[in-house]
Amino acid sequence: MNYNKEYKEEVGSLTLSDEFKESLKQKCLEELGKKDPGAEAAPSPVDRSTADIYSKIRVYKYVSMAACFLAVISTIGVFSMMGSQFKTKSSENAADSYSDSVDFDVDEPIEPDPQEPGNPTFMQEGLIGNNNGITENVDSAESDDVMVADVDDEEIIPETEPVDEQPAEAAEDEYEDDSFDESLLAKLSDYTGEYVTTDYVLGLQNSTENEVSNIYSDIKAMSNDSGESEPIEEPSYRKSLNFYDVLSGALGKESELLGATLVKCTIEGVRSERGVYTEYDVRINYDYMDQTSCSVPARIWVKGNSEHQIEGMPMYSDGDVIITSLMANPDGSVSVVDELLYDVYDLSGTDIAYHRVYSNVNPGFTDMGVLSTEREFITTAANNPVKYVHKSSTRELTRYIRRKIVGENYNIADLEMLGLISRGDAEFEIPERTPDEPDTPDIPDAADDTPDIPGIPDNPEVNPETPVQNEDQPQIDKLRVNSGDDSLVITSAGNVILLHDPQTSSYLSSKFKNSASGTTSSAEKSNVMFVGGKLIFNSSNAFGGELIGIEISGAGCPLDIGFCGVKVGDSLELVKQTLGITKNLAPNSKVTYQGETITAVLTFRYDALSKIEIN
Amino acid sequence: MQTNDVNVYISDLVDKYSDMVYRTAYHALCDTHYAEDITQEVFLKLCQSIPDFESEEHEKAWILRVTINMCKNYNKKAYSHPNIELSENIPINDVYQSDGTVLSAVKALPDKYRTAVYLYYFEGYQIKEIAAIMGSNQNTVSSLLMRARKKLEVMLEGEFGDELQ
Repeated sequence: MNYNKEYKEEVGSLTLSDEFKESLKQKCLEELGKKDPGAEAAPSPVDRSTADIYSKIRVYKYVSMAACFLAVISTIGVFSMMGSQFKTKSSENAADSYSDSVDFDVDEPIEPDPQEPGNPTFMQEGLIGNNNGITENVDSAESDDVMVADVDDEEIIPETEPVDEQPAEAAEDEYEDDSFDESLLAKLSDYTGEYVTTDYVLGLQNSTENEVSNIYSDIKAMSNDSGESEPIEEPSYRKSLNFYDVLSGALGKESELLGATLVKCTIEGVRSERGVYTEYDVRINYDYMDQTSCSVPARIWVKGNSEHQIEGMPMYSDGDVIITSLMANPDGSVSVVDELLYDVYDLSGTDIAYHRVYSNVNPGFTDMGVLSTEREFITTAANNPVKYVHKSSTRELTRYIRRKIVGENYNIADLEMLGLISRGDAEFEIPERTPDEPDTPDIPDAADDTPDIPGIPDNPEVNPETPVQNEDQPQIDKLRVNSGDDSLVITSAGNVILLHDPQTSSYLSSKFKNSASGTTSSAEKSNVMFVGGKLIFNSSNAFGGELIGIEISGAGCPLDIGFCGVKVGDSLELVKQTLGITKNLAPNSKVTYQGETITAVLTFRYDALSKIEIN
Repeated sequence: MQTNDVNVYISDLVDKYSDMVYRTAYHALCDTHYAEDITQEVFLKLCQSIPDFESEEHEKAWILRVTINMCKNYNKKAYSHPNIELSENIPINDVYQSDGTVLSAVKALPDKYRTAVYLYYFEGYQIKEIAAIMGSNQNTVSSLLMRARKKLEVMLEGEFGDELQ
């Protein structure tokens, strides 16, 4: 029996309703009316030829293109001026600094040249209607990027953070409150005025030279002068941290205690200082895990006080808004997770979160959409400037972290209880840490976090041609390890998968089919693409045939592929511990595991596992 | 052509091609609502540009090409926003579940297969023309059609169409 005829009949019955067609015609006519509004009102008596109409349309197109071209040129000019010349001055008085920074003084002998026509206008246009001194020089193009992303989110992803994420009136008042007008910088007790801000586009303008030349940091000089304030050195182990270490470490630890949290807080004042910490009174405004507004008073501890501050992390002032994760400590105090500490600014109605520089958190391994336009936003001030290393819309950021927390099945904290504990109004039995446990690092313990997968080599058979090196010896950027296939264990979401195995293909198909973003096929193989990775099958059908290769290049890849217990995004040290590598690998290096039929290449970039290729 | 002529022209195009656009979009996206949205977008785009078509065939091919591209854009959008269900190249069902129609079997094919099948078996385009419309090459289209036919015959347990010409 030939089904072709039936197919034609069935497809032929697929028709639009007459109402839809009429409606469509109406919309088309409206569109035509928009395009040429005068045509209907005053039709030309002359019967113009079609060619005339088309030539007119083309003229309009050229005029539009020319206008766009001029706009682009203007924007480039704006970028270049803002990147190199924009400078504002604020007064010594902290309270006046905001107005000074907004009301830039063109008479000041500073760049840009006040004689240059259009500069004042440009600067005013560049100012975004925010209420702080830091974000004023965020260029409009950048904020446009963010806005576009958010608009898309609103249109397409209603499940994300609700628009009304704070109690409506309270939230409005909050942002209109004068207290928030004053910037973080302006409120520094020792803030002396002038600051320069620069927005770098990573990969385009950012360089060590740029950064050094643009950041003015006198914290060390200040330390020498006063003999009291000493910057706290950033611990070296934090260099290797990235977002995923934080998420699997700090949030995991939170989960074991009171539960993981992700909140937005407003600073309401400084309560006390102890050691190198400051205790702030805050109000938790929004619970991103529950996606509901709330108003929970709490006391939180943040590193840095009036005498000792982390470089790039000045103290907070009343009205500052932050997004962070709160961790209960054994003594009942509640502190922020420094690696998830974002300052929030309202840019033209969109909340933007800026990550504080405390540790070298590398968000480049995340799958947050905004990272496609990743920028480094560095703000400098006379004393201990606040420095940011990552920006994201709060919507994107919190959605991303929330997914991770939910994905890990972490316990979620009760914020009311957290608030009570932080204020000393309730007690909670929190397990004491063992004395030999390090004080602060949240790096996940490799031995604890490594799943118990049979076959993981305890001591990989290192190619004897390569001499064994210790930490004192030079770093190597290539390592080859010979091993049997049985020792090369690939897991996906905790399940062992095998290459050239139909069952694996079937499992992946059922598990991850809906996560795929597309395929490319040839006669020999079919690549199934995912965010941050791909699966390669030996057939041209998506998920058909046998799995012959895997490539993971993003820690956010939904495939959740692990190789011998390590995953993309893990720090170099963690990978070395997990795989038992004793060699001194360079931050940018490559390790090749050569099995009998399997070859796995682990690529490290900037002290983190950035890619796993298995074939 | 006066304004009224343009209006008539557009109305004629809607009458003539809206069903075709809808069917094409439906084959690409397998969703009637999205297909209607795409149909509307295609004609609005047509109103915005009003291309100078050389012939009726050119006109039809242009509309089909725009439709297919818009469906691709839709899938790209779905890539960026994971809560939109993806349809590109992902079989709708793990296992083909017949609802008694041939169309359900076609819908179980990957996106490119479905579009090629529609253009070849329903619209009657030649492989060369399909390749031009889909922005692909002839060998690829031939391959898609052969595999689609083979799959359909397995699913339907019967023949589907004739040998490719």
